[in-house]
Amino acid sequence: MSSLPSRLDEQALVARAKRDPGAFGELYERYLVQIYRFVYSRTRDQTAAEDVTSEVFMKALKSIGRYQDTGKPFSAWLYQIAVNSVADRYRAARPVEDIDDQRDLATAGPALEEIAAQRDELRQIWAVIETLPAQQRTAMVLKFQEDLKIEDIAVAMGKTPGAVKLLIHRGVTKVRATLGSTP
Amino acid sequence: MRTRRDPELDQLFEHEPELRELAQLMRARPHPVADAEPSPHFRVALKQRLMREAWERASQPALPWYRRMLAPQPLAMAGATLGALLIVFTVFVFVTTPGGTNSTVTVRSELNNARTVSLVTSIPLTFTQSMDAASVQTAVTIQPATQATYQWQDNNKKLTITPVHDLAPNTQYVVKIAPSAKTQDGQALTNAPPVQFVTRPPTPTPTPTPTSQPTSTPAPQITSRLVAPSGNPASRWSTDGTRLYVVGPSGQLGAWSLQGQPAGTPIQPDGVTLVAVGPDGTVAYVRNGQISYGSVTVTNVQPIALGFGQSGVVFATASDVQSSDQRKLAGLAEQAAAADFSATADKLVYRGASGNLHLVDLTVHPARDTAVGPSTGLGDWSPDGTRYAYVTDAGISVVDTSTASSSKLLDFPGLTGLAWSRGNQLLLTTSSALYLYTPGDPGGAKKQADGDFRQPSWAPAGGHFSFKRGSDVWVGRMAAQGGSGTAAVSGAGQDELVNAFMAARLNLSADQAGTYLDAAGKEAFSSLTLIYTPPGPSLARYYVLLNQPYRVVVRLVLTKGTTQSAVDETLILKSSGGKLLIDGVSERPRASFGAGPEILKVTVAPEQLQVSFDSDLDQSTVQGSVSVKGPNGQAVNSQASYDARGKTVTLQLAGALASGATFDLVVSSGLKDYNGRQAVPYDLQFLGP
Repeated sequence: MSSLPSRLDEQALVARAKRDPGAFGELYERYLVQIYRFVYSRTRDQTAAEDVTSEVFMKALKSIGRYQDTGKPFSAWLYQIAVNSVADRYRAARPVEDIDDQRDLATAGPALEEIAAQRDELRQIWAVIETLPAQQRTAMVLKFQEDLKIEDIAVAMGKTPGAVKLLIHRGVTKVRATLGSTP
Repeated sequence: MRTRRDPELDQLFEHEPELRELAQLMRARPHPVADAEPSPHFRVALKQRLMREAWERASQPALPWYRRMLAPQPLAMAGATLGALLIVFTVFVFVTTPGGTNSTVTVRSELNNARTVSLVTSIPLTFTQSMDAASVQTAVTIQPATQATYQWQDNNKKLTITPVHDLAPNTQYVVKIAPSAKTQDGQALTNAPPVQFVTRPPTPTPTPTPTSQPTSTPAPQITSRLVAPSGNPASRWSTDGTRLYVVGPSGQLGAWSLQGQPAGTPIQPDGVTLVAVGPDGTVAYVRNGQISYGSVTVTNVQPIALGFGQSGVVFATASDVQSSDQRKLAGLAEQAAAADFSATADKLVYRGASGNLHLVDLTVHPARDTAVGPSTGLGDWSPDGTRYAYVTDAGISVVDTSTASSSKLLDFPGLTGLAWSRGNQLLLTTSSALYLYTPGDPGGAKKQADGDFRQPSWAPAGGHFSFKRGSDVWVGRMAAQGGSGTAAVSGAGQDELVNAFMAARLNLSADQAGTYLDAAGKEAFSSLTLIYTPPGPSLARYYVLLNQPYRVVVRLVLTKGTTQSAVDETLILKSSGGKLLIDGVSERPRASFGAGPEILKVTVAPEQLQVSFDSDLDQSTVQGSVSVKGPNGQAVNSQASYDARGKTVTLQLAGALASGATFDLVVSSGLKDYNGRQAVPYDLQFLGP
């Protein structure tokens, strides 16, 4: 994960962005890649990732006036918007079947066999993560891919840190159990 | 790779050392897609959109925060500050935007590159900035000429062009926007590539194989025969389509002749893991970690795909793309499980271990690797190499290689493979049936046969294809209409004959096309082009200009790159032994095709001719510009009228045309289209009915 600006710098920049569009542009430059990568990891489609990323920053622009600095990184707030936007997108596209069902279908069968056959532990791990329930997977992605702190993940997911710890613990346990049963 | 440990994870799994180490490992080695980068275009475009939005919001006095927080004096100062910031920002964007333009204004249309577009359609254009309506509408041209109305939406960012009349069938339309189009703040369009699309044919064009719905019980449409046992590597066709190179279960490589009974010629006894055929017909294969291609050998490699570029053989491994001298041409963003080079090896598609499909553009340096989206298998390149169809959970998706954008082509779950013919038909395989699908066909995929099919591959000349069933390779042949492998059009009209003949040519199936020719017809075509194959122009579509008993004039539209040309063929038909076959042909190139209004169809009646055009015409130019000449070259008195809805000129003749006599329909340069373009002079010979 790229190095984050110091909290003081960030606080000042966010405060400026509330009244200065140019400062919002700096925030955009600072967090675009992070947010895009997270969204892309959830959509696996360039067009969809661009659409959702656009939506995230437009929402952030519209809402930044109401943003309250609670001592958490600004990125946690952006991730929160991103998590919701990804969920919204797939809810809108498929009212019954959500992204997780699709992802499970996409990776539960041949992909896992293929990956196992390659005896590549890293890819096996991430293939298993893709099969986890939505909340577990989001927590795992934010922790292990985005390298966020548990408190920041809690902000992004609208949960308590304890609940996030539980999701991550269950996720890692499931990964271990699945890998352990893989021949 | 992250090297430091995460204390949160150590704490969370404090009493579970195995889980703790696993968690730290996962954190240290993030998911491969963590390397995904937004494209520069997207980055700039979104920033500009955000900045526009931000400045608009900042300049709206009605906004609550603005009204509450700023008193008149600070407001003036804020205005000055904002103005200064705007100048700074503008300078910043000007300096950082490639090419020195101060912003990027682009336009796109979802109709671009569409095929079989409805004749009743609107043409949507989406701009990245609010546009000046008058300048855009003046700058838009549609060819063939099309009278249209314009509707703007979304703060003048979306333009819907609605043709006043139905579009012409089976016609390529090009919508261009001249550089004179401006944004509302006077900025010129940065990027306005033409929007191209092709309308649907006037009536469904029969394919060489009768169609049926997938759910119905199909008539047998293919004949197939077993060739040889096969291992995992896909079989490959020779360039002339007479042999199939098959890797056997033990890695033995053999060439199987398909003329007569399949007969194999051994090439290598064992150990072959990959085979490919170069453009000159030379076989390339990988055996025991060595690539052999003619006199070229590359050792100590583990290729998963071979390609053939201008500089010779290239290959892809799980992690990179290399030339034959083992120079690295590209690194792959994630570990590749399978890959497929384009015909000229300027592009590579690979499927990563995560299941994601990637497109690698090898024409730029460094090569550009774009993650396209989830896939369940590779697929095949389009005939022109501009698109790649691949298998997903839902069916077939297509990635456009120029934009790396993917779109769904067909809902069809359960596919095991696909092959894209040069005639633009997709052979689709499942574990229970074989289907044929023409992109854009609203009828969807048509079942051809029941059974287990995998690894489909069209023979270069079409007509034949290979597939895998169980542990064997088979070759199938698309039966001609009637199912016997020969043209069985007895009793059918000449429309069906001509359409079947032209469909075979579109499918590059010389064998099949030949079944519609008698001996004289074959002789006549021996000096002409029956099948248009690369590197020459390709047959993109055709339309029947004139259909009289035993005489049909067909216009073949040929494309090479973005260039269109046309040739008119006059087919002479003959009934022989109860069969109607093509007995003769003459051809004439159409000069400057598309430079002005073009004839689409001519209908001849004793006292009337109807001439349909592809363009909306300038009605005032019709009289005298479309006329008929008699057998001796004398003008036939006629009165012309124009029906704008059908783009049709009707010539009411002073008297009946002499039956069997030869006449000429003449279109002069006096005829102009709606945009004022003159017709390129043309004459079409026809017989009195």
